[in-house]
Amino acid sequence: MKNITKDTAGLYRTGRDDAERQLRFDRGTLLLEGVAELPAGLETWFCYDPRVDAYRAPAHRYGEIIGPLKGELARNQAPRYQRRELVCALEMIPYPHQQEALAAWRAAKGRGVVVLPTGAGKTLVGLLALCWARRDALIMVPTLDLMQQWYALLRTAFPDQETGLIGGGYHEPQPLTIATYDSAARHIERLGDRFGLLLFDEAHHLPSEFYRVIAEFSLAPYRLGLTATPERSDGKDTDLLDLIGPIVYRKRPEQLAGDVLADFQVRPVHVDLSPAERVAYQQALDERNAFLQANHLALNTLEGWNRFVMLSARSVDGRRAMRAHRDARRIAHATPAKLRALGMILANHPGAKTVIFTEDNATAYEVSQRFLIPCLTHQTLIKERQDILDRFKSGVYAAIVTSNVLNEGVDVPDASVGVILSGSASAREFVQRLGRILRRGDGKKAVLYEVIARETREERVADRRRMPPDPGRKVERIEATLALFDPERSTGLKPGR
Amino acid sequence: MLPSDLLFSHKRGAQVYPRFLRREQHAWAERVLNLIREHQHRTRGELHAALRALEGDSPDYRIVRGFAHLALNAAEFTLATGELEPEALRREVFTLAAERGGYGETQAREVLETVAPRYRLETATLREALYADLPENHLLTALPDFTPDRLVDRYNLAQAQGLLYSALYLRLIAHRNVPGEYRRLFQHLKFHGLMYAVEGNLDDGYQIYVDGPASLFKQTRKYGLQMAMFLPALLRVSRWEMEAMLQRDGQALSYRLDSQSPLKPLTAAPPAYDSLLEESFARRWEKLETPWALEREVEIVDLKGTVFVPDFALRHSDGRVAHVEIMGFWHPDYLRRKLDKLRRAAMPNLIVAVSERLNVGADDFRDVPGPVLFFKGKLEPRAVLDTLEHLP
Repeated sequence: MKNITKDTAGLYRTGRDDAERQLRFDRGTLLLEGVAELPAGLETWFCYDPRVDAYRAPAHRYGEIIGPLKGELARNQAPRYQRRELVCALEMIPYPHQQEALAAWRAAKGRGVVVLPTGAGKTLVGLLALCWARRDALIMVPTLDLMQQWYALLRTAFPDQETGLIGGGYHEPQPLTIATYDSAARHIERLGDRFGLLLFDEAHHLPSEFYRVIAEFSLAPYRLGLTATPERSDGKDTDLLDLIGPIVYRKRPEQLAGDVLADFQVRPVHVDLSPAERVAYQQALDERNAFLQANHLALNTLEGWNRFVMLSARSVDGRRAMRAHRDARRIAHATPAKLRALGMILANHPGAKTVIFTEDNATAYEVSQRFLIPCLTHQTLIKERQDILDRFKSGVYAAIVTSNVLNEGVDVPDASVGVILSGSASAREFVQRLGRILRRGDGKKAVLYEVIARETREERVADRRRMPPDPGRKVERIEATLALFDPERSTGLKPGR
Repeated sequence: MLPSDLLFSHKRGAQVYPRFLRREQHAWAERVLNLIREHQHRTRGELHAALRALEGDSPDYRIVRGFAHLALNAAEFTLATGELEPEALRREVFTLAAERGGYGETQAREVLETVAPRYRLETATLREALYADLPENHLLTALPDFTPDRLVDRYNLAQAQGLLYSALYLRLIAHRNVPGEYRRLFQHLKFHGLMYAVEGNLDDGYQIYVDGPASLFKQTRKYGLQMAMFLPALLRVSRWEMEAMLQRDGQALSYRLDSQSPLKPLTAAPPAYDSLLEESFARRWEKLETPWALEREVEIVDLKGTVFVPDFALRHSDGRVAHVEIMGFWHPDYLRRKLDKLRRAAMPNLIVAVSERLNVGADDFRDVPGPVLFFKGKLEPRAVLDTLEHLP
């Protein structure tokens, strides 16, 4: 690993000159040394740290601190990032909404969140921000696919600039670095002083307890969050204000539709379990329900579910009930009927660019082996993943099947048919899956199939409002899907879990 | 260590305890290890299925999984597909399938029938071979080096470590330990990126308060994992107590542990002395007839950010106390830090014994208040005794 930061508070300090007031970065915090008493006006941020006999402040307050502190310091050793003139070799013609987004972020002094629907070119906004901030930058991504995509983009945009990766088996911090949230959280204590701009792609991931330190332990004055869906089911999205900045720009899909996003249509496909599957499904449900009844449990609340998990671990009966519950789920998810329906859909769109989504790896591999469609899961290695996506883009492959890995942000241009096999109704997932095939095309009409097993638990997930199967049903369902784009309009459809 | 879903604990009031294995549950360790041994040169998928079968409907299933997790962390799996290159095979088959212009089960079968003869395979086998490189098809090649007893020890330790995942801070009380143990304790704290403050004295013991840099602003569980990784190092110290303050589901809980605990450290005991120089000095001191007793239970001096732990304490029967620090063969960089520490520790009753082989002179010790003694080869106890008599 290059550029190891010496964590000096943990090592012995030598030759320290107490007359010299200096600020330095220490494992996610700022340490002010050589001051007998804290200069006035700094108590808002600094606390006395008796462990090292110095004053300490949270690193992410650097932007606010450095103004009043600057005159007091003999040396400022905290930031180790450089100014970089980034000349973009890529010809960028931003859309008006992308220009507006950048302007709004700049007006907020380079701190804020931009909300744009998937497919509206968030990445380009990020690129514009990099060129504007002209500082060493760290880009956070939730998946290896996104890492790959940003890497390819930065290599093209800034061919003379070293671009490093952290995560997915790499650890190469460079002036421009792309990191997974996981790896960034693990290494930020040592890297928090090396970047002037933090760019959070799919920024709704940041407020989790484990990831938020990326923002807290970094002193970067510039911060940009990009997301299609800032809302989190745990309500922690309000923390984005402190971690990154306010939402500076927001556009909804319907505000951009026609312009940028392809027109789309949702078609639910209901499949029936075979009689044998139905028997097995019912048996599994009965076994589980007997246990639930005997123990006075109900699964319609999180608490009920947690009690079931707890009780099921304690007895043979409980273990059986939990297994029955899982069996029922598996039957509903991986039913051969769904694969038959998929065969039908594929036959209806010969040669059309198709992306198939499954919830689990096993189903993805089964589709792949049955129809000989290339498969992407989290197990697929980066090289092969890139090869498959390249061949899909260039038209060598007409379809790909994937278990969730494409959920966020991977560039799959031109797909005109989407199939969701066994999905869940979490709003974010749905919007992102839709976004995948809503990329700008030449006036094409995208179709999204949602394949649901009838009369199973899953159907209730897909449609929380029980509706009789009447002719109006399809229309209503499409409306329900549309409502997911607009929180104010969505009534019965709350994010799952 | 174990993932959270394989951890057990129970609460009594504000105290929390890891759930260690009950005697009758130890048997699972041997069963799991036997099963793993039987699966040498077989696939991970088969092994996992066998482990699932072993746990069956038993409520002990998470114990089985815990044992398997710890044991398989020490095992090795290798890709073994022979001549076949599944990735190339996939490319070939998927490209052919795409060229047909439409996907379907019939088309897929025709593609497989075309390709299979080239590899002298049945079509069904070819279908399977497409993903022969998946992790579940890897072969178990190196068995974990565990006896059932060691696996049980490791499991119980992992349960204790697991509680620390949600720790806000640790309070350690240590007393009457030898210098090497203290030094290693602080080295491990530093190694794991933790910070500490030391209070107390030689007679009443030392209280060491452990957390991380950012704990100053708000209590955080961010350092819990580091504390968990540090725990085995604490088990190497002779006499200590630990209280960990945990936060779980918004509740403050305390977990106490001490050197009486049956938990076993991971590694063999380190040597009693840090160097031969110290060891021979101690051995020869024993032969000396003197009221000064050489002890290894020493003082810790908190230097704010680091500690100074001298090698020996000397106690006279009349109550006088002195310390000895031996500087033998050190790296120049270490020497510089040691000098800085000696200056900052500013102990007037500390005798610094310096090997003449070191590239330092009396000048370097100007700011060190105690006596400095240069020696050739071995440090003579007599010379130290002489210096002692001249201490104020």
